[in-house]
Amino acid sequence: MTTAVPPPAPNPLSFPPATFQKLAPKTFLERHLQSTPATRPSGRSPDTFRTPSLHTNSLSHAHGSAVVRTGDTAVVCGVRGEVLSLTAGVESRVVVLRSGEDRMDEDGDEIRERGLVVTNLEMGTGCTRDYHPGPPTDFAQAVTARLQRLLLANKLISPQSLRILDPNTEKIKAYWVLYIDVVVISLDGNVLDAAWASILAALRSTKLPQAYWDLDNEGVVCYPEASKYKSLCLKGLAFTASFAVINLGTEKGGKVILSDPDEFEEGVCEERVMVCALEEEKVGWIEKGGGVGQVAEVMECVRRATERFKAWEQLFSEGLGSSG
Amino acid sequence: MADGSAQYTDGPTTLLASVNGPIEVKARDEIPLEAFLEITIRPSAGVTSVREKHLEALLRSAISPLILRTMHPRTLLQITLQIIQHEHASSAHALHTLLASAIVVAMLALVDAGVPMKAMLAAAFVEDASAGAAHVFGYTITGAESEGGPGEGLVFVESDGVFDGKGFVEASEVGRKKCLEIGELMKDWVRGKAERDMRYRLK
Repeated sequence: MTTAVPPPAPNPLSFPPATFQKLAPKTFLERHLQSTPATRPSGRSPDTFRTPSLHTNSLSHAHGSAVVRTGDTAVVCGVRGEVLSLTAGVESRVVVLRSGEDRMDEDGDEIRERGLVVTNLEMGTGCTRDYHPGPPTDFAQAVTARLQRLLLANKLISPQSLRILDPNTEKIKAYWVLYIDVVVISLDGNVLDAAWASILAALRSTKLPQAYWDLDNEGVVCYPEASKYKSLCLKGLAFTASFAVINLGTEKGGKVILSDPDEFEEGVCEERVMVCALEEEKVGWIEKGGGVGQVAEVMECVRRATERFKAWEQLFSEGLGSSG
Repeated sequence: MADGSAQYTDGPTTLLASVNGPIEVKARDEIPLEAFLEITIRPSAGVTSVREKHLEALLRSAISPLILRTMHPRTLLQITLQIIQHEHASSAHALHTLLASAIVVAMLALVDAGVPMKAMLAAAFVEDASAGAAHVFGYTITGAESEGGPGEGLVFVESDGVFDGKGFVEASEVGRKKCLEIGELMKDWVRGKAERDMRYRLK
């Protein structure tokens, strides 16, 4: 008699990398970074950012828009201007005037005080594996708050271009309020960098109708001709760069800083650094948290952010040079 | 009754923190190997807005790396901060001063609640008026490497304004010194509290 011999199990002690990644995500990332040269699961080296791409003015009903994509993270940003009339009662808007607000100096922070910029970030349905339908998550709200702060702190938008004047007296009669909406189409980590770049590109492509205060109608009138639309006046450039930091232990290589982390890396690494680089190698913002580190680590991030700034700057000059 | 609480006043800012934990966690939030950290910040007036959510996220990134969350897996650690008073002296830096105080008060409440931690954290607000930059630095003040802690290190940074690398390094040094000063005060408060609590045993 012969008995059927079961085929030998194909090496029961090994499993494919994808299983390893699911079972022990941290060890999986550590093993990758310990190889020479250090390589991340995505094939990038620790200091490589993903290549960004940019399209502007793809939304026809917004005053300005941009699509930014870095790797598998894609965001759309639309800017729409609405008129905020300062005269109480007109168009059923009531504006609360605070003390000392009627000055017209250049550095007056009207944009912050009057709330002339409204930022919102929305996660598109099914943009990520962890997406749950419902009200904005804490994460989305925190990113929105950071974008709003970045926009106000860097003072990129000059208040001049948002004022609507009475042509005779040169008095401010109304303002343009910019509603900036960012929709995340696909999320693969580092949503802040992409969202911020899309806001900046959208603002650069924004053209608002020329508006003036009409004394007879006591209201704001816009010229309908597209040729009379005016670009916003923006001051300078600022680009954010985000990093995740993983500690491999002193004997195995110490701390590794990963530029532009993807979703898997963000899930594993607790420590984060965000740097907003400005022109002339200046820094406008640093945010660090999630782990015990040193100043040198932050300085390395600043250096990488300055490099990244140049890459974005070039992309913007190419992408926005043609479309206006 | 909270497991631990602290009130902290720094100039025009007064904050109250309470810590509860480890307590039962909702099934949705349960983490198999760690405690779930819930941080809530309540404004002095009005309802919680995006601003508070932003603060919560910042506070979380500052204190979560120091809490030994693996000590109480599948539980909830609840940290609630009530802003009692926060005057807006200059609106530009309101968030920074609030953040520095929030870190200190949350740390003290965590110590009071007896939550296991790797180290204590102190935070300081540094303003560089000439460059128009404002920083908040969070440095560990306890947990030396010889005692098995993470060693002295920079845990938290929140800086804005316009500055360069050199300015940042200088500010971080000022921040470190300030943190150590505040750290000494924090240690004194904890010592005083422990002494009061243990008075009947010492006699």
